[in-house]
Amino acid sequence: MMEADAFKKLRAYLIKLDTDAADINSQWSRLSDVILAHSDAPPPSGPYATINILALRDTFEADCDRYEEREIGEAQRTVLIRTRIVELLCRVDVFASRPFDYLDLFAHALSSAHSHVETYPFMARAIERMPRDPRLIGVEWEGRAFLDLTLVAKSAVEMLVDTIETGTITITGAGRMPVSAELDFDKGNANE
Amino acid sequence: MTLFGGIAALAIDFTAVPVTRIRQSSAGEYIDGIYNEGPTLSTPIMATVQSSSIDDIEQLPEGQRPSQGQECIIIWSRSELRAPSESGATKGDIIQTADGKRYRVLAVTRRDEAEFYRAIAELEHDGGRRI
Repeated sequence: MMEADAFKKLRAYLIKLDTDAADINSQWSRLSDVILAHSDAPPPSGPYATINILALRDTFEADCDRYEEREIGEAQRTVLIRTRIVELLCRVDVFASRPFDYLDLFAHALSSAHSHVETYPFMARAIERMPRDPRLIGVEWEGRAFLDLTLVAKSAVEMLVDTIETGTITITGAGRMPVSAELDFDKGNANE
Repeated sequence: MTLFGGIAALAIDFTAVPVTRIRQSSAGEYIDGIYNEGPTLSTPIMATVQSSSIDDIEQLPEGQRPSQGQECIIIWSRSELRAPSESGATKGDIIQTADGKRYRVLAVTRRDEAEFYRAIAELEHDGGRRI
């Protein structure tokens, strides 16, 4: 779901920026759409942008485990919820006659505090260089440029785990004198 | 109708087998930035299905040629066959053979003089992993 959520949030923000730019500047040529990259589909007509999620990386900035009891398949099961901080490397391609007009706007906006509110729970962290990469489509060159940005987000995954319900723990030790103790464990009375 | 065209059309009628033509009946659309294909319409048609040769593949423009080893067929039919539209708004027809294999039409030649269509199609692999 993280991929879909990141696409949805980033797309909504880029569309808002483009719409706002058109409201501010009457000369602004609006993007016809912001779409998911590599879809098996015809490109929209006019200038447009694509979003492509290139990579997912664990930043090791957080590693939090939490357990929950849930009824799953008519049985009481333990769910481990692992939470980490991850980075999503995203590429925004703009296909337009003057793609840097859009990318400059996006880069400025994504590095502002304003974007953190708009794209929550994702946060743009770093914006890489923005190379121009025009494409020869048929016999005509079409303008294209892209920027790579890193979105940071909290990622939580759930896993079913087995737990020890009851048992006996035997402790033996040998120091100045041998010691031995038996402790009974009952998960239902773990606090006792 | 020319003599040779007529003979070719008769040969198609003679060797045609029932297949299903699955056609995208209208162009798809973007919904929230994600493309949704238009609905499809299945029609039973008669067609002659043959394996393709290297010459058939080389007739296609480079960008449209199937990858090496990909199974391709040649389809001859009196029924209309459609290639993908230039804009990409509509896809090529899918021809489903009696054994359940699905072939996507890449290019079509219409032979007006004898009223039949000749298409080249490649085996479609949809593993449910499309973006």
